[in-house]
Amino acid sequence: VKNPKSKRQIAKSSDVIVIGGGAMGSAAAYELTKRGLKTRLIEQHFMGHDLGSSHGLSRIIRRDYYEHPDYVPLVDRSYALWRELEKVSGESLLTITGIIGIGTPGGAYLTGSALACKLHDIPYERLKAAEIRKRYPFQVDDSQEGVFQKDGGILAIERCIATYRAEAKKLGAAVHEFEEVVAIEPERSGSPIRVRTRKDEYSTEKLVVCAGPWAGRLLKDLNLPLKVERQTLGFYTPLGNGLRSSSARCRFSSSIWAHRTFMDFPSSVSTVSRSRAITAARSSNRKRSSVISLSTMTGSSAIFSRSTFPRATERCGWARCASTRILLTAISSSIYIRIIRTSPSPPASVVTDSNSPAEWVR
Amino acid sequence: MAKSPYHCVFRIDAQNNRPILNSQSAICNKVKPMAKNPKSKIQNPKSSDVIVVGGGAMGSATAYELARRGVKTRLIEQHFIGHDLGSSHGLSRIIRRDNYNHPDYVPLADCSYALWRELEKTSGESLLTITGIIGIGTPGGRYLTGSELSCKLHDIPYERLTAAEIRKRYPFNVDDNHEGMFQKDAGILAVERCILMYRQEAKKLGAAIHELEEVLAIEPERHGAPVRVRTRKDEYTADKVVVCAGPWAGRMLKELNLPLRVERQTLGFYVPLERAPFELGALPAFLFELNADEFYYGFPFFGVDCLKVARHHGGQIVEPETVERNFTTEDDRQLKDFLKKCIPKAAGPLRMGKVCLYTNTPDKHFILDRHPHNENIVIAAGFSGHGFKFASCVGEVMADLATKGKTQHKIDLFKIARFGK
Repeated sequence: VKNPKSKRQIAKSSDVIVIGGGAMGSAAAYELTKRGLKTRLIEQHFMGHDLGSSHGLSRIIRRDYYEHPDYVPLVDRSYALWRELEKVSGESLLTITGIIGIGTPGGAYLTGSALACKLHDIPYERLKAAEIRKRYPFQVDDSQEGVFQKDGGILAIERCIATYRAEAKKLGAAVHEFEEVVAIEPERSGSPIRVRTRKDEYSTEKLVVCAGPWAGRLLKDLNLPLKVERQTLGFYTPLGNGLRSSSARCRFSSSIWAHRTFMDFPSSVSTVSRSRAITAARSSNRKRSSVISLSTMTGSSAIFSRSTFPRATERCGWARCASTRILLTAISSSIYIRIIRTSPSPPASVVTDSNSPAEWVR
Repeated sequence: MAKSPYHCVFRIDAQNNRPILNSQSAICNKVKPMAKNPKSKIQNPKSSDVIVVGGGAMGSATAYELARRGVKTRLIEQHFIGHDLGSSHGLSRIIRRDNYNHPDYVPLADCSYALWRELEKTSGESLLTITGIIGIGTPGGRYLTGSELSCKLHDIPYERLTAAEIRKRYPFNVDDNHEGMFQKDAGILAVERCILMYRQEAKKLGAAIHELEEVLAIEPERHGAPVRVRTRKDEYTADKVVVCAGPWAGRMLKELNLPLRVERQTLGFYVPLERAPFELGALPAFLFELNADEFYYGFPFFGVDCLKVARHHGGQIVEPETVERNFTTEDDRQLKDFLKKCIPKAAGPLRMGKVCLYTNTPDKHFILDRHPHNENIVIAAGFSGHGFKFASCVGEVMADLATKGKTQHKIDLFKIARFGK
């Protein structure tokens, strides 16, 4: 301590540094502080920014995980932890709506989804095309079928992250924003890791990297097979009258309506937001009613992606809304942290990008 | 203090696990006698002292100020608080003391500074960053004349710069006939975080916050009667209603026929060709008056490593529901042209572009007033693109008007009656 330099070093050391203050990083920071660890969270922009994958109003959470049944226990733990966060913070974050997934029998979605449900005893309902048309305002081919799973829901994503940030801060986490990490200097096993930012340098026992689309660049030497993909979402004002009318209203009630549609054909990933959606039109008798209206948004992220990731593939895919998976795993980063703390080398990335659900399902 | 059933219902209704504040209990007791009438018993949980309509900058600040005074407050927002469909989203807003619009704004700005700092203390968040501001215009133009006047009247220190000095200090290309004014106290407010903090602190103090609940009608009744607010979900009553509806104010107060026009504004975030001159600490916030109609302003790196530039006014008159919310190539071209001409070192690639809305009055001054036909309704509207910096003080003014019917602040400039006839 006599050496003034080492004194300064001590002030800048911590048990764990988390790089990235998006969904995963903020959840990780919260979980770490909850365990009493001295935690430092470093984010290049302001937390809650819209240049990554964690901004906006809504993300799906669902148990029938067609991508791989192994996600199911993680999802179930996520549900529990989201509810816990709601309790701790007094915020409403998770709204159960159910989810209807539509695809072709034998396709990745229906096959994988049903498998996950069967393996983990998740109740679900299989719907024929006619039944789907009857219940929902969807145009589906006769060859299509659907799976309805009642536990699906919507997470108020930005609020989730803001809440993690607030709670982590309350528990004493040091939150550094607008501070880009320039280099991570891994030393020999056992010695502290040094993180250099544009403003300063910090040392830590363990490092958690949750760098989202910047993960590949940050962990360059690992050469992770990560590709950043541009995704777009639209918020549309539906043609109200049909849905407002009589019986349609009941079926398309607000509890159900908010299913973001999730379709297994390449032409349409249609996302509908909660924003006006639920508020939109309630009939005068104040029965829960229908009609989605609303406002477009988009734009900014699109332009950002175009200018920043010109090589991003513009595949407007079906179910591969990266967002879904990311939020689901958000919570499970708490599980990863345990791995990090016991194993000498950090896992590659929290966002596992298993690219071939269809392959697995077979 | 005996707990009335009403008391319990409010706890649930507020969705707040924290203990109810004494002041609220007092309010509960005060209205308790009304509970004898079964109908009013039902109404009671839905009544509050004040309802604030709109959870943007002004509404959230008002709700906080009210809750802080122990007033039973209900804040109703049509979307989620923090949404980007109005005028209060994004990373940064300028705050400055010198005001070219009117010197009367200066005391309000000074009050705002103090209240922002107070909110920082209460919430433990950093919200206001001092950077100074450099304003550039032609001598005799609106900016330099107005700004200088406000500084002189209110003893604000400033520095006058010639074109050569500006070019020397900053990466700006300015004509020789331009001059500048540097004011050191100006800064940047982290706008979205400010609003979230107001929301959080108001909630902590017991305000009931309703989100995703659109207000359909405010029913002014006779003087003295409670005001009824009907939303898509429910109906509430309050002694006073504060309307802070931003671009939706005109529609909400239709019968007043306020001369409000919603204007589309665009902002671009550019990656400069050279980093150093644009970093926070190196560059102040800036404002260019190219000619009488063309104002541009911008920020150093803040929140994201890009130069943010935007044109002040000069946008299309639109409706909030149908406005083009995408940042178009034409928007990009306009800002890029400005950069090429005035800040060539910043004319790099566009990183992101945003759209937001101004709600303009004809004279570009705010509306802070009571409803002409119902003194129980208080209105904050028409911030005309220069309102955010004042949000903290507007919260105080609105809380004053709602609770006391008057305020110590000088707000004569903002009366609705000025539009009349």
